[in-house]
Amino acid sequence: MYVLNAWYVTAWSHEVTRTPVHRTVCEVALVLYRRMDGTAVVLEDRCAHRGYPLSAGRVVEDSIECGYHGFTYGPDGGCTRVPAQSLIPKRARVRSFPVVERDGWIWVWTGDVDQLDESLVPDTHWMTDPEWATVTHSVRFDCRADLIHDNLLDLTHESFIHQSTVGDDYIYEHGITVEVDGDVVSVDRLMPGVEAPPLYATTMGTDGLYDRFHCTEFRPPGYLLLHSGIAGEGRPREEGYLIKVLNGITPINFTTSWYYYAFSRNFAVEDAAATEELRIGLATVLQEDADALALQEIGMQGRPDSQRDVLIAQDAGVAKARRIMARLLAAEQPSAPTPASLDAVATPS
Amino acid sequence: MWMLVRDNAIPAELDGSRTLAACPDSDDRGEAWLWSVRRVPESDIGWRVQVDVDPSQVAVSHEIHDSGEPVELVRAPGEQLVVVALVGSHVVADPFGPWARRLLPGDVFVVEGEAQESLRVDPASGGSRVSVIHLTPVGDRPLRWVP
Repeated sequence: MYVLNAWYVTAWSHEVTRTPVHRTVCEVALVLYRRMDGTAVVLEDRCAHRGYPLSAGRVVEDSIECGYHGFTYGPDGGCTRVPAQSLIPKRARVRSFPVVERDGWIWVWTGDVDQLDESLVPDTHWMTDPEWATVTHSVRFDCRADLIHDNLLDLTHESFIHQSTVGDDYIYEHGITVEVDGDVVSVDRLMPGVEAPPLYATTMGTDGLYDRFHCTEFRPPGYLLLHSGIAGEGRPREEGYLIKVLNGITPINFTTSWYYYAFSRNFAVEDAAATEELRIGLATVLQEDADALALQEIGMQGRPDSQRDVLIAQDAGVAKARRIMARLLAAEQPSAPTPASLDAVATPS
Repeated sequence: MWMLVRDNAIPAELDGSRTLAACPDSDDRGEAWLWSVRRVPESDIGWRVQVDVDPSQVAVSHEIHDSGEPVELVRAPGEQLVVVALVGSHVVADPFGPWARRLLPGDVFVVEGEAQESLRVDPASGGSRVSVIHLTPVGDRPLRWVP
């Protein structure tokens, strides 16, 4: 089960062209392409005629033509041409999905169009703001989306999984402040008087001690924004070296997810060598997470239903986020598990 | 661990009450219940804070501050502290650091951990009322909050 009344990052802008491309989001097969005027179109990737993937066809003007028998669909999903006859069957239609393209990401609304709210597309301007330099990646993770949410809401794992890149033993020694405001959960950690993380220290050109901070802001169901950086000891954060890590987490199915990642920084913005060094280093960080969460997914699938996570105070943000996800699911699907049986949500069916 | 939960994130139960904070916070953990802080409907004042504890595990002290003066709070190691804004706005702050947040009626702030720490609660002018609950372990075992 997935929260469907939501925007999910479905592709990078540059991936969507006049050649159709396939994506699966929440087990729904989608085809993406561009109209002649450049606007993106997202349709169900299954021809109404015989179920052939439209992404294996071709774009003709503003429409997409099925590569099997030539049924052609317009951007609204209505069939406009059936090669063998002039009458178009009423049921010859595929579902079309609302799209917002912003700052290099293609967001798709997967739910009820009557519930659509474009204002829910989060602010991602750092990706295109000239005052910031951005490194991007996208990685297919062999795990359920929930595990990536947990990973980003509890960054103590940096001390263990990312020891050589962004980790340091001191991370888990500092307490967290959790905030829950409506459906948004934030987990903030201030680490005063520490060295900059190894991956960034060179780019920042720093040595000595700083106040390091990171704050993960979870906007369910599929977006987490990490506000991170270092500032002079006792100085306001906004004066420091700032990093915004934008994480679009999109379920493919129950055990696989797309991770759309953008790392924007407000320092060494013109330094191409630093950008390249970060691109390589951050790919390592993401792969460390991907490898770890794939192992965790295997562990979760083999875990008896009677065993539940032993969460501790440090996991407050994780627990609150799971509760909100369960509530959103329950609101959309009356048969969804209640918060009281939340762990059952994490059990494959 | 500090946790601030806004009023808009706390669902109402069928009887109109709301669980502002509890330990454990969820039945999912399968751990024994220790305490709950709830807001319960009260006909003349709208709602009040009710604290329930397992007395064999937890001792409780519940104070209401409405003098308009700042409140200095000290949480001993292994104790837990719950602050609920009742009337007016309050700024809850780390007296030694930059962290500060404004609490509005219905918001709840939970503080727990193994080291001693201090907090300052500053009421805004114009009438204020805040509930402060100290939860102390009865035995030697420190209280740790369970999500």
